Amino acid sequence: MAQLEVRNVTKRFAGLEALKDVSLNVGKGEILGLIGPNGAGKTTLFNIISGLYTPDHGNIIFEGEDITGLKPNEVCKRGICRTFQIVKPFTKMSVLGNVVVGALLRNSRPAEAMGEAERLLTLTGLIHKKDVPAGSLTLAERKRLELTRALATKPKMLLLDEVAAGLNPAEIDNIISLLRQIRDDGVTLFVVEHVMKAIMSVSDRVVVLSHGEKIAEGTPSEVSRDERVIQAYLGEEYSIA
Amino acid sequence: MNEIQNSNLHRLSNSYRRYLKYIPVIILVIVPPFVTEAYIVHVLFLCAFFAFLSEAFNLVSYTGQLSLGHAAFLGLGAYASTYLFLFHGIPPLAGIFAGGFLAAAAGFIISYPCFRFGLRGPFFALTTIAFAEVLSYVFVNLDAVGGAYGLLITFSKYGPSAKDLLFESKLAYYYIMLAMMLGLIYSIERLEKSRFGFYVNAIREDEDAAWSLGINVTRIQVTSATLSAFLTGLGGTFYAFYFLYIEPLGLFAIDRSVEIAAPAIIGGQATVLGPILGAFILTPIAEFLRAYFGGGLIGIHLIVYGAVIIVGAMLLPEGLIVGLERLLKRFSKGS
Amino acid sequence: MADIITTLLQAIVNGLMIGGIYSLIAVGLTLIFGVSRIINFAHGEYLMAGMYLTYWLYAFGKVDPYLSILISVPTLFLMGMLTQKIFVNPLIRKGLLGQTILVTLGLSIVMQNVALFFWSADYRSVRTEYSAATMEVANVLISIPRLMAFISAFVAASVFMLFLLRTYTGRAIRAVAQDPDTASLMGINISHVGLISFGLGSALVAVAGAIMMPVYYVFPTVGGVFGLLAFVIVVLGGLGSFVGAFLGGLIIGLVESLTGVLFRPEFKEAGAFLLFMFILFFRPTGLFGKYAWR
Repeated sequence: MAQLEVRNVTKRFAGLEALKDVSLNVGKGEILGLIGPNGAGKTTLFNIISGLYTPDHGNIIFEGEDITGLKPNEVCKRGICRTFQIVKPFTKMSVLGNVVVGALLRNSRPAEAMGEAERLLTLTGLIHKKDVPAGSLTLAERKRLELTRALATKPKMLLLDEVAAGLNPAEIDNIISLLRQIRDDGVTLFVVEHVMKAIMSVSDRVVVLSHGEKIAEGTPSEVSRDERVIQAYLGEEYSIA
Repeated sequence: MNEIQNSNLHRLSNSYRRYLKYIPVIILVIVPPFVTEAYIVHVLFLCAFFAFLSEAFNLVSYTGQLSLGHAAFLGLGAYASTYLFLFHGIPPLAGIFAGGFLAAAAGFIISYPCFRFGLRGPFFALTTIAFAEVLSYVFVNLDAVGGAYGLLITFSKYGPSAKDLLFESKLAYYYIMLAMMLGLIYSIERLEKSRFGFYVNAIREDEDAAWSLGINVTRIQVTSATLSAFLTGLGGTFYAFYFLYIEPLGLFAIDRSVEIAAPAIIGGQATVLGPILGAFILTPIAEFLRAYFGGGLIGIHLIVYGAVIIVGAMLLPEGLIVGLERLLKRFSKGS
Repeated sequence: MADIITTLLQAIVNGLMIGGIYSLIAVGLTLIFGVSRIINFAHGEYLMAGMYLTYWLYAFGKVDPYLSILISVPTLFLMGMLTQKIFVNPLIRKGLLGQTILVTLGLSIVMQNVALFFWSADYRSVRTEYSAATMEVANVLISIPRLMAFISAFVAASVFMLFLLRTYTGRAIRAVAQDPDTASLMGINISHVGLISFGLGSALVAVAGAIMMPVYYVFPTVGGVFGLLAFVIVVLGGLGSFVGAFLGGLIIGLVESLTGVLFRPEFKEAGAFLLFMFILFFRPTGLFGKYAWR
């Protein structure tokens, strides 16, 4: 049984079908990439899994439990945590404070939560900025903060929404090695990405969405040679080789 | 100045800063008995009173919402304890909690449906305004509590009696109120450092992010509102037993809600000391205006409140206290 | 039986007539929201200002309220523009849109109490020759000034609609209300549109104020009730929807009137308020709106 099963999910917004009967599985401990041209429905799918939206049709099963329609905080408690495409740090709080908010889910005493937060910040390389207000971080640092904060909730699976967008190649390499480390620690990663180099090099498998439908699934090399995928990307500047 | 002298000075100013915050407290405790003008003691009481109420109000602001109907909670608290005292002989020291719980219940009734169903921001504010208006109307028509005439506590009949919160000297009321204010400040400081405090700050910054980190935003917002209502309700009893007369049109008026909210808005919403600072600045101004214009024109002080809210919102959105902190930081860096 | 029908008809007629005025106020509010995305807490106080202006023009110059529209409309238009320019635009520039609630709240408090200070809490009204005139249609009593008010409101709303649909400025306003980013990319000056919209929203309220004076009265807190109702209507009709605000006004007028007749007159606001809560819980976007306030 897969850790996460998306079963026949359909979602409509004001008559427009953002997701049409999409099904996929995410295996425990794998890194699954989700790609597709703009507007394909990737973030919508994440929003549905994480509980921000309810699907019009279909189910989300996580570790055997139907979590369709649960509120985001309930989804997080069950072990799925997401990051946002446009990062949402608590800008007036310190970096440490941001992570503490995440850590408080599993460590109800602030003192413990702080210890856990510091441990994670050391892991992700932000510990030197722990007392700085989050609003003063660079974009790359904010992305790492968002990741650290999500990790603080001790997730079994992370939904990462375009974690590499806006980063330069060196920063992307950094993030990729961080992701590998996180996976090695036992967290499943479900990643949406536009930066092809990033996702193709880090994913075990890739799922491709286009216009709300799943059009391909397989290893990165299989998918990049799939006719339909190439068609879908014609006109986009991304090279998938 | 060489390095050693510089760092010594810095160390000195650090320890100064820690004790700096106790100076106002000491002044507030020691000085008043030496004040001869009864009117000034009255103003001092009002300062502490509105500081307490505004600090209680502020709990809602911490979660990023604005309530413009806190007069409802003030009024419910006042009516509960006064009614129980006048008609059932229950002393206010017990009645105050009845008032608090009644107000808390109202706070829950109003906040739960709103936050659960997405009625936030201006719509929540409007709902609180409407709620206070509805209560005003209800109490005007409730003859059991005096209707439009309200309730009167005849001092000569029931007091002076310490256990009934009826004191001859205004100083006594002042000290009790001061103690309550200080107690509340201390409690909120501790709350800020607790898990609840972290969550509240997170919610205020970004609700969506908070949800995604496992926080039940609705539950926390409702809890804050209910707690805020409870504390405001406690204040209601002091209102009743100090002014000795309560009537619905004045008690539930939006003017009272504004008087409760303004110190926090101006002093700094979502800060511990903002409402206190705001109250100690605005209340004397309001009283001075009342005295100067002879009390015949109600509402003059509100022009000032309104103007200060506008200026504050535009120039110092985070409140006076944050502005002051920045100023202090700049001074200490200067050395 | 005939009595009941007559009473109901009377209530419906009265409700529609006051509803027309509500519509005008609500359209003004929804215009300001639609363009600048701010909730003008002081909208009711602008109505009050318009009403006082009409009153004083009549008291000192014997200017008929309908004539005084020629003065109060430009005056309130200017007031609205200045409000946007002085209080709203700086906040938008600093990215502090949320603070507009506090600013307009402050304005509302200041205006109410300034009116109280200068003109006391007395209720003032304009009594013209036609203030008490009535006519009877099928046993239903129709107050002439209310009918005039209703027709004027309808005319004003229609003129406004035509303006929105046919003129360049009108289309610019609709464009900004729909999608400010695209609108500015197409060369529309968002700031100017914002100024005009606030001005127009206030001008509409000036008309409402003027036509109300012969049948109602003004006092410093009159803005409170009408302001609250205007919000109810705007939410009912859908934030940013002009059609919604217009229809919403009529509906609320009807609900109020019928509640007053079927239950007790003091409850008529409660009826409107209950409808408000009902709509917010079950259809937060309102009848025609696209936004639910999150």
